[in-house]
Amino acid sequence: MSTDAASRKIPIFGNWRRAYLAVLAAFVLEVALLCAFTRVFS
Amino acid sequence: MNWLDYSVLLATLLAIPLYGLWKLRAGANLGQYLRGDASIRWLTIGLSVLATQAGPITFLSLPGQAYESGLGFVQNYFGQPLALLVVCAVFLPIFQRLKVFTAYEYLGQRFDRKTRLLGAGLFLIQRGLAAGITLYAPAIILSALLGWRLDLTIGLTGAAVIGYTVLGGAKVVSFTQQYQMGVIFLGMAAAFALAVWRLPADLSFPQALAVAGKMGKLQAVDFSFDPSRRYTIWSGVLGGFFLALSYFGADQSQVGRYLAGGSLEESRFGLLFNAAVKVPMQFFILLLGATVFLFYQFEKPPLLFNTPALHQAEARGASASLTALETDYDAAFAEKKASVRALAAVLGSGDAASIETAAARARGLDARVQEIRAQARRALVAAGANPKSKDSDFVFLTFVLQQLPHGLVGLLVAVIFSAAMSATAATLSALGSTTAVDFYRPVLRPGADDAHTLRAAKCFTAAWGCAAIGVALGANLVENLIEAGNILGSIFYGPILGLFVTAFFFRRVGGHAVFIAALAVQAGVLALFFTTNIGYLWFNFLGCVAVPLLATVLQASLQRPIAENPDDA
Repeated sequence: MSTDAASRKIPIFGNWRRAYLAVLAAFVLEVALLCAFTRVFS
Repeated sequence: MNWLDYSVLLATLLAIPLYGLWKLRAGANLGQYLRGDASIRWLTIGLSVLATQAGPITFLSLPGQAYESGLGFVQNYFGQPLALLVVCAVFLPIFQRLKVFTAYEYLGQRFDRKTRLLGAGLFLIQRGLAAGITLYAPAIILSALLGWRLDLTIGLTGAAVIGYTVLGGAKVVSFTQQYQMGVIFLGMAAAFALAVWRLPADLSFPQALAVAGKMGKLQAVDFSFDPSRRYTIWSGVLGGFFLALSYFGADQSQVGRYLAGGSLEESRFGLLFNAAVKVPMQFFILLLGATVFLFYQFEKPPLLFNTPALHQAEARGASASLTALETDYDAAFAEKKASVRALAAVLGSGDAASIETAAARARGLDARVQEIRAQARRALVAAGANPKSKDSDFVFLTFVLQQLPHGLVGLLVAVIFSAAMSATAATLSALGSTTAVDFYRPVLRPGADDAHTLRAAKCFTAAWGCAAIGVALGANLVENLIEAGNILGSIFYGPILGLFVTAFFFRRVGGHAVFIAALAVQAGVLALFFTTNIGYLWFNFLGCVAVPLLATVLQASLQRPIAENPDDA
């Protein structure tokens, strides 16, 4: 994806790069929570 | 099920498609019929993508999977958010820029007509069979437990889906899917709440979870490198990534869903919504299964959940051996229940040694119960009452039918049918579109105008629906419903994804080389599938990597430039 497209203004996140990073961070958080869940209950 | 359940079931199943057809009753042109239009917003796209993937097998088999093996299956979805980011960044902008109806049109523009037809053809074979499994899976379980006729269940579900998909096209499919997904969320949340509520009153939910954890059912993440472990974070991220990339990047049933809005922004938000909610959603469904497992630690479940097969075996002369097993089972369950109670009591003590001793005893007695159930399954097979699906596939629906109040039972059965209808509708829409756009107009009827192609797309959608019903009626002994679709997809997805990866990233490779490479790799994957025990997720990776590599080598040996005669259809 070109830099122009990645930095295009979008609602909520500002640009697509930030949106992708936010979703990636959410995924990492989800896996971390599942790891914590496993640790607590196993 | 009583009259209230049937009323809820019929009202739910009929109201959504009829409302969709009424709401979108204005006639659609070819573009609106095949793709939808700009009125479709990101949330509709997101729910539609979610509904297309989460077929009936997800809601029938996944809780049973957790009941039997715990939460580890959730790791299979870890590659999906990463794959969706790649689809958003690489695949989607290209499809949107070229304004294609199907993903395979792009292969025609990038390579040539035969490569486009190869990609579309592999998709049609794989999805045509998968549509049959989507109809067959819920029908086999529901007909067994509710005493319905299998052929009628398949036929009526298929006919309803064909009806609204042919009449309304992609726009109605997306519109109805969001409401069907709403019913699914509502039904599963209610089932979860009831499952928690039905646990023993003296046991809080966290205490109950601690018991399930000690019995080995709550290990969601496994960092082991042991290749014998079926679900680990590594196989989930790597294998799941390629499976999801193939599915979302190269399968028209999904490409059609996220191209529905016509706007890059709406499509991207729809996919990012999926990337964020998929793992929590699958975890929640698995946790529901673990909760049902907990419930059945205190309430005796049947010897086998597939009770119709059990009764069939008794009628065929296995009654004496099954009665003996039932006696053993009752005693083993009573002992296990006492040990689970003892484990729950000792958990609050903080005495690690006592807890581990109690947990080991409960696990040992659970293994004894499972061994008796395995003996019962073998007795079934020996009596010729071979069950057509894994016993775990019957766990969730048995719980629903026996433990939930009337009305909610109808809603949960509606959840299963809604999932089957929404996934099948998206598939039929994609099969009809691909046949009309990639085969009919360019090959069979060049120069056909839009009105003619629209009529052809409707006919092909109906024909694929009838074919799916035929496959479902002929499907037999698909023992592992939850994996049948993934296995089928993995056999064909790798080479199809390989075509797209070559198109995007190997600019010097032309149509001849990639066509031969994809054919050879597909033959190789089929050979590996029939002759080895390689885990099916690896076929996605192998196919995806092998096609561009082989195509590059072939291109060098053919010494041809990039195809100069791209498909003009």
